[in-house]
Amino acid sequence: MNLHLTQHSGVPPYLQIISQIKQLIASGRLNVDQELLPIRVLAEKLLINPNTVARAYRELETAGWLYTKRGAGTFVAAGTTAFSAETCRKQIRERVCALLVEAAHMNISVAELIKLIREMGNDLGKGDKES
Amino acid sequence: MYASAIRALVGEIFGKNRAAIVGAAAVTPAAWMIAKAYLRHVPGIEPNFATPLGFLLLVVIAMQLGSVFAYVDLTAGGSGSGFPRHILLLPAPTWLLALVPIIAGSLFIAAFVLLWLRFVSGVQLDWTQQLALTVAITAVMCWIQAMSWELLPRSMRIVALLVVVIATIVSVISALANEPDFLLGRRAGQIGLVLTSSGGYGFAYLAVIRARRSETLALNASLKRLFFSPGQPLHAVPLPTLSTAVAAQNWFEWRVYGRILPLFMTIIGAFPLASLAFDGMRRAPSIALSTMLLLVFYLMVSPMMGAAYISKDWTRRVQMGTFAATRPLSDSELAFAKLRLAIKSYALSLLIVCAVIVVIILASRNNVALLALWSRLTQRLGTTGSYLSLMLLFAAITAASWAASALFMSLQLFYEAVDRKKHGWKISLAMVTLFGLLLMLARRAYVARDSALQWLHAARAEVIIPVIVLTGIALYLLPPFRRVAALSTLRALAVGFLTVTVLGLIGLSQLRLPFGYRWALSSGLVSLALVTFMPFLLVPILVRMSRHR
Amino acid sequence: MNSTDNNVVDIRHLTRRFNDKAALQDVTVRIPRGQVFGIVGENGAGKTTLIKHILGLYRAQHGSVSVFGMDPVKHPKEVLSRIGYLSEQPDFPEWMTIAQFMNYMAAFYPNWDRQYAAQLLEMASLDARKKIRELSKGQQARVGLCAAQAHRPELLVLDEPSSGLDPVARREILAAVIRTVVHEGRSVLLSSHLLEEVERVCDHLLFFSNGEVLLSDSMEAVLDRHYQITLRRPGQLEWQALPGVFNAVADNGEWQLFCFADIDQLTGLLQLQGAQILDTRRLSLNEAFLARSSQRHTPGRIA
Repeated sequence: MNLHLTQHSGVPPYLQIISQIKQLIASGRLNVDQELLPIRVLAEKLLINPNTVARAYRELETAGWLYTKRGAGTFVAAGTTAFSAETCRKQIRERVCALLVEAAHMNISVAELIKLIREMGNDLGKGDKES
Repeated sequence: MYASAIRALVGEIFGKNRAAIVGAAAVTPAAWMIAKAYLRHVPGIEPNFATPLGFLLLVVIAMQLGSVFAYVDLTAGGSGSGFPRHILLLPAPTWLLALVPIIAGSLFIAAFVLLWLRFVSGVQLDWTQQLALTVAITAVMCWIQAMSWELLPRSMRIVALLVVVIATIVSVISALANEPDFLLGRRAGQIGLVLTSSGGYGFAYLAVIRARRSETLALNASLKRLFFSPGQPLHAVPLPTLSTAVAAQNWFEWRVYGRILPLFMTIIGAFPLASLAFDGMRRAPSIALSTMLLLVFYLMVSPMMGAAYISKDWTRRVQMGTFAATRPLSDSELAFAKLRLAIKSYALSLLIVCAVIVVIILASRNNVALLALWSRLTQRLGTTGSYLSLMLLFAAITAASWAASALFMSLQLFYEAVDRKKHGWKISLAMVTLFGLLLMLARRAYVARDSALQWLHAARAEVIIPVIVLTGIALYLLPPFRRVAALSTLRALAVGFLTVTVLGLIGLSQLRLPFGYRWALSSGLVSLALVTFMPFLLVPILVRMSRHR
Repeated sequence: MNSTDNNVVDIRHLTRRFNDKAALQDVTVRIPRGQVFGIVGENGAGKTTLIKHILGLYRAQHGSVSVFGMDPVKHPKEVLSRIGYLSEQPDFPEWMTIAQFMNYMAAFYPNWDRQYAAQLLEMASLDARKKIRELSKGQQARVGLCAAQAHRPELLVLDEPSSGLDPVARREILAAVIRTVVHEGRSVLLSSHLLEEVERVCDHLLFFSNGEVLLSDSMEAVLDRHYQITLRRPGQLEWQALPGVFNAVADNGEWQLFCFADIDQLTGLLQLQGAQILDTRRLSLNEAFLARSSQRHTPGRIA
């Protein structure tokens, strides 16, 4: 379980852990029912407070990504793909929102924006077909 | 040609250390002269009664000045000296850089010493003697300068310096003495002077060269290898078994502070022993000088020892650093560890001093003056009485030294613990007043010394006063002591002291002295016992004050 | 007396003056068991003075200090034998070899574990035969750290341990902190001005400035609730009256507010006052500390 922390990124450590674990699960590097490193071990490895790790694990458990077995540890939960779609959609919504605000500041209309997206989407699609 | 470099160097030396120079060269002699002038107006006092003391003070100040001029901070624990490195970059040859501080220092100190001798001690020297003295001072300056450049391993430096200083002093005295074969003899003394000065300058020159080229001098490394053998596999050095915290602290104290005093006394004692080889030693004045040196040094060094024992490491002035204060020991354990160290150190030193004196006496069995002295003593007190009184004398000197050391330790602790800005001036005032009172008392006693003996002959009740005062002080210190330590420890000590005092009193009663004298001496003995006991009350209280500010 | 109390250190209304300067002003700090407690402040803020009170090196002039339920001045042995301490500028006896040093220290602590000590020395790659004066500053700090940990202290006190140290040594200090706190009931007090370290390992944070406690809160709260709000509002802004705002900078009609608050509540309040919110941004610990250090106003408590 290879995690790392970036200092000075402005993102609190526990959020970094959460997103990295989600990445590992989503990319398949952590399989369902696989045990995660115990809180102590991960804390010593990353040199962060164990409560930070505990908080990350807790939030992931609440969100349904992990489950704990008494006395045995923390494991990856099944059925996360459904949730990840939800989260992905939420992330995209936020990005679009930010994009719209910025475009408004720069006096670029929504129609122009849609045109731009379509163009770039076509280019990407062409690139995909070629690769 | 080198005028600017010389000017720069001299300016730096005198400018940087103005305070120290003024303090040593102006304030101390002034104080001493005032004290002496006051005492001189007392009728019946010999003109140079304080001469030995004056000489000793002179040597101490000269050494202090020497270290100032050589940029050496003999009290600095860190590596290297205070020599400003930028001076090494001056476009001047190395021999000049080595020479200027030495010459500037030795000329200043020589002038100071000669003026002191002339006006304070009233000693007149002819020009050869003045020259010899200046050369001697230059020699020592060379060595101090050389020492500052890490030629020798740090632990050897102070020892080496002490050896050189004493060798120089002995050479000077031999060269200047009126008799041709006093101590080392005139010829040997002169040779000694030349050797120490040229050797010193050579080392100083080498040291500056080394500093300029930033080379490591092989001497340091080879001496280390010779004496300290770090090449030996260190698992051969066993670790001491320290089963309790107190045992650990005792080990620590002994390792850091315990060997200083025995080492000093060994070195001091080595000189009379070494000069036994020379005929000059067998003459009475030489013996007296050596023995006096030994015993006076013993007493004089005690305050310095007291300060050293309580400093963080004995080369620094900082008292009780954080490491010492955060030992998981109670305040009384910490305090008693220090006291135990002082006792062990003094006990060992006493053995050394006694051994040296025994050897000197045995070697000078045929000394006419010594025999005469001894016969006078045995006439008064009888053989057993004489031995007994000598033993008591030594015990008294050791006890007084230890007490002086421990009391000075207490003074340092106290000075460190109080808020100096608020109370510093009060303490200084108290010290000056105390010193003045003692001086007045000494004067009174000296003036009345002939009548004093008669006065004591009739057993006076006033003799008890010191005992009462000291007992009162001890009782006053009991309540704060109880807050620091259990009374049970004190009880054991008190029993010990009582036993020793009673034995001493019994010993005194065996001497064939008139009752009045015995009475006075007994009172003195009890007072000394109380003074020696006092640190056991004071030091725990003051350690507590110093540790928890 | 001490096992039932949940606080390792309990300091109440501590005041300390040096001549006329107040080094500590009415400081109240409670360090609960099993946590990493961080004290952050600029140089001369009083962190070391506070720590010295905990170690019993200073007596409380006003107020009280209680460590493990005892007064460290009255019971130095009992308190100090349960504390592992690394000072800012350690003054170890330089003449000792590391082996002699560890042997000496072992005698003072009943819980000293020689095997663990040897293990720690090995992890720090220290040769026990070397003299302490031959070591570099970082190595000396590592020796001190090993000695402080070898008896598994209930309280590990580190006073600016990383000052002037290389990254390897700094890493080891963090490792020591984590190693200590993962064991139930053991606590760490870390005083530092290296905020990245503090951010990583501390559970609770104390902001210290000029002898006063500016903020004492959990690390979560400190990181979650420090915000910078950039807004535009014509005319004057009574930022002192706003709940949670402790500092503000005006720049050409734009205001930058630094606050420690519930962000939604505050922005709502600002909008009611007619302000146009341009940006809200969480502050990093570094920025929060800088803003706090020039704090000009103690904000009212948020409901």
